[in-house]
Amino acid sequence: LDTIPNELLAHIFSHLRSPADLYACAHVCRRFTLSALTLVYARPSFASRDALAGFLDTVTAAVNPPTPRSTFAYGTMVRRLALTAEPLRLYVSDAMILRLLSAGTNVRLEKISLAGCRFLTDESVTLIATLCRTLIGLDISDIIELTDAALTAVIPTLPPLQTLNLNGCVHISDSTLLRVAAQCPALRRIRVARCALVSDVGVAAIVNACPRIAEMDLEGLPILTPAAMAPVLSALALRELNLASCAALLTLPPRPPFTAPDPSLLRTLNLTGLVALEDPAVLVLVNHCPRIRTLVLTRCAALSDMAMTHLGRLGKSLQSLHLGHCVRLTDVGLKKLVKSCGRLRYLDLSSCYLITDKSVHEIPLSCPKLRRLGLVKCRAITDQSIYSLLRLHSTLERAHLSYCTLLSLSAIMALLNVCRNITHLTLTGCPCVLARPDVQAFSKPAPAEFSEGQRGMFCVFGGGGVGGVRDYLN
Amino acid sequence: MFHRANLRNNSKNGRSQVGQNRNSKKKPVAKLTLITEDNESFTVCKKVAEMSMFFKNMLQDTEGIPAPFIVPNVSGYDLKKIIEYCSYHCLDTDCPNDNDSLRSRRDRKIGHWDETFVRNIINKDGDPVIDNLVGLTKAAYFLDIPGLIWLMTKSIANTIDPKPIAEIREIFNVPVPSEREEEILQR
Repeated sequence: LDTIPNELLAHIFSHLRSPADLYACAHVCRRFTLSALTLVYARPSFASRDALAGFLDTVTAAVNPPTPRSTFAYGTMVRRLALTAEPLRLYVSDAMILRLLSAGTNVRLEKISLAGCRFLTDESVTLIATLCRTLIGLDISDIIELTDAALTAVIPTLPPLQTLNLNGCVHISDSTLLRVAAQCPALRRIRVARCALVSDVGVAAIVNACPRIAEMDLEGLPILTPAAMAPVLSALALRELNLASCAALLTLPPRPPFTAPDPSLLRTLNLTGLVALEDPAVLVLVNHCPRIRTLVLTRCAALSDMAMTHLGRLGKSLQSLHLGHCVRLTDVGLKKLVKSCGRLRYLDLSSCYLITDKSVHEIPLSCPKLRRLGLVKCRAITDQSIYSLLRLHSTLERAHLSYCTLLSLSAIMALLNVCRNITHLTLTGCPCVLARPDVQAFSKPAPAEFSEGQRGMFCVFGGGGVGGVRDYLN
Repeated sequence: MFHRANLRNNSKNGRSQVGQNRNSKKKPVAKLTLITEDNESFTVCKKVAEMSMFFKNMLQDTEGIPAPFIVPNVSGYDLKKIIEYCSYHCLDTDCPNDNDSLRSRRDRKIGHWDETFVRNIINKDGDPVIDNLVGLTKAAYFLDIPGLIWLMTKSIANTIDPKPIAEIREIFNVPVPSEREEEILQR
């Protein structure tokens, strides 16, 4: 045993799942302790204020080993820190961060997440940037107080940064992004959702300076214009892009002409709420990004059946498609879409109220792998649609049928009995269950914020409730 | 299994057969002769040997097949098992590797063949089980075979998984620490 290298011990311990086993190993002998505790302290997790206070005491006591009080320098074993648990984040203060980092946790720290720690200020960010030399991930989203000046000052000390999350830091502007672009060439993920001051200039600078950029979250940037799209869509490594609710992106991408040297490898694209997005823009997008797997077009209400024909060009790449509130969509477009995209696993058609049984009949025939289907508020569909869906008996896992007012209980029974893999079924506002309080009793409890009227309508079966209602009806 | 690679154990005569193989086949398969520290000799395909980063780097550095190569720090029994593992897995594409995340390494399941492979190590007559596992793990670590390191460390972890401290000490043959030492460990 004495000849096992420490690295191998660490390997062995990394397979253990429960902390209890790790603690058991830690008590075997001194070498075991070192390897096991390195793993225990690598990613400490805190659910409460007390847990964090206890951790702070331990690491502070271990600052200068071997003190009489502790055997190892626990602080230096920390690699990831997340102070984001719901009640805890409101207690996190600048003084606490100072205490944490001065207890040696800065030495090997790779990722720190302070999302939503509202009472932190520029001071903490400055401290982190100056003390943590090995940081590759920094999440300071929703710390509203952070200023542009502080961030631009500290970014030059963070060149190895790969992930930067600034979602909801409303005071930051292009100058921070320009500094990031100049100083952090290894950047892979940047999130600046809801940072209303960020414009085309900052976004373009990041794309041009960081060749490995793979994920960009640009949700809710009101002054982002179509001009920013040409550089963004030309970013070669980009895999995920979120442009939801960018109010000024009226036409996307810029047309005409839009040319890029290579087809994009984009896999995930979110265009939620671009109400003015028109069919020709979809054609340009599809031609340029043929590998899209997940596409969110919720509330792109200007799209018509023509757009569905264009989306058909994505063919087998497309696996997940959200078309909620695309109110102009009809049976013709939907049929064309599902015929071309046979590998769809998730299809959301909420509030596409022109959809009828005719096209729903086509879905299981063309997309045999469908796992989730959303038909909320598709009021025209009848039991006939449900009987068509029975063909998906081995794959269907989630069905959202709320406010489909024409459905009957016998069709729902057939669905439950044939599709045995269903784990989630929503029937909120369906008269067939509203008339049966005994059936509704199997529903999950309604969310706390619902009004009395909404509670009466609420009916969602999940987990054990699905089996429960199935057995009860039989 | 159709992708089982060619494996020959010529430990009986202890001689290299590299030249012979080259001449007898139309399309020569690059082979490598390995001699362990307790003087057993094995002939393996290049492809099989390259499962080990140690051999892979060596073959790249020497640009060609060296003369019979003496493998330090590895016993004949261990090398036999290693070659068995590598021959089976040399064409696999999704072996565990060093780039896997901590979670995917932990959650990966041991395959059927691998399970039998490990059980046969355990069943080796008479010897204490954990010593064989640890010995093979060290050999795999020395030769740098990520897949085998994963399998062995996982198997060792499984043997200590739900056990109390005293039993873990027994398995690894760790002496019960003195009270003073115990106190240090408590901190």
